[in-house]
Amino acid sequence: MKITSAEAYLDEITLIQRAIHGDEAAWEPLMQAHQQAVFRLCYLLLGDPDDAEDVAQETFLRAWNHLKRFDSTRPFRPWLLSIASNLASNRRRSAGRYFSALKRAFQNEIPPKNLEEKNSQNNDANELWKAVQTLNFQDQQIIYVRYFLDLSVNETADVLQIAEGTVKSRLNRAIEKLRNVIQKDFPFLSEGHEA
Amino acid sequence: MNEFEQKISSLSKGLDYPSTPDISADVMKKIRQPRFISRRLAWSLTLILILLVSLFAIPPVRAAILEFLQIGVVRIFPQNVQPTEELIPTITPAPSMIPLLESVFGETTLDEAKRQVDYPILLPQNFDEPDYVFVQDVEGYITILVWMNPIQPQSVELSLHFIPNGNWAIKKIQPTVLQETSVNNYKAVWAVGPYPLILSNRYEVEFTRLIEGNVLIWTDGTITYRLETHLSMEEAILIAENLQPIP
Repeated sequence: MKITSAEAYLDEITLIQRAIHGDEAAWEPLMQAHQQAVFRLCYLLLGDPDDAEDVAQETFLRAWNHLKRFDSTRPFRPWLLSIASNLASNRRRSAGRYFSALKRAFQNEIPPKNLEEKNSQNNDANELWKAVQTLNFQDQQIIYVRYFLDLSVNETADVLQIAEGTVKSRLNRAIEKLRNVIQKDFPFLSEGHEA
Repeated sequence: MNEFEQKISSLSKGLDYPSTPDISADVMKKIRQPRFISRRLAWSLTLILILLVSLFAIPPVRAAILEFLQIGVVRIFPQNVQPTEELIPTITPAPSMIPLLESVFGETTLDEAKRQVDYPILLPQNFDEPDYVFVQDVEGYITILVWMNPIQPQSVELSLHFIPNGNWAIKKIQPTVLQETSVNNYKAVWAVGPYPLILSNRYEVEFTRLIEGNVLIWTDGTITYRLETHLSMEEAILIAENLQPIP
């Protein structure tokens, strides 16, 4: 029998309710369903897979510890991404991050096998990521959540804990800045596709 | 979505993410672990408690242990007090605080902050609405209001933090000058000089310091307030004693 998204959603609500009441077994499938999105947001914000894994783990631990504070009438993924985003923001400012960056810089001296080939396949996406990384943290956050992770405006509002109207105005500002960065430093990204 | 947004969205799909590690397995291990650890921890804590109680019985040790000030959730450990250095005015322009403010997470509006937190947000009299408002969920909602200097719009004139009591504490503050005072008969502390601020809960988080000036810290029992300013202690207390709820 095919499982519809409505059935999956109901399953998720049931699992959340069980987890709220301390059922650890219910928490595992919830994590499995959302770990990719959480990990990817952390990776986008931090740029390092090890840091991203640490913060993703911390996100699920914190969510588990504060599950009673989750409003189960709201979607679950934006709540998790909101925690992840705050933790990633803290991690970016922490001293430990500079040591990781330093370590990474040394590791990067030896290019991994096939990296060049892979890079050429995903060159445009990577260049776009570099362009986004030149923006401030808040602009990066909203662009990653809305466009890279494909969340709706409503869900983005939940992640950033702001009103939908504020999401729209911030998106406009962030997109405008990104457009300028692309035109100035990454012109090949807009070649023949200028909006 | 306009054409440019569609392009961003479509380009981003080509990004080569590292494969997602099995986060759930590691988290499940950690969730299940505490039961075992907590029994061992309980024994260790009991032993530490017995040791501390014994040490407290010795007067000089007790005096040393109590050498910190607690204001609400803020615990202050004074350094060896240095003689106050007279501040010499300098013509070097202050660096812009705007990039720093843009990196602080949780920016919101006053109206949204009011809806989000369950304590009253107070504003200083004779000040306009704050230029920046942040609400940060750090196991309890901290609100930060920031007013920029109207004459030097790149620098911060005043910042006011609302820190609710929670299961965490701000520690390791080492100001060069520390003075006990009061705000509306509540115990307060006036701290001068640069010092690091570490917000401590499950792990350590750096706390953004917005002004290299003075700080007035006081509590009304449920909220700890932190007012950062270049103003004098008397002026800061005047502001603190006349804070008003948002109309």
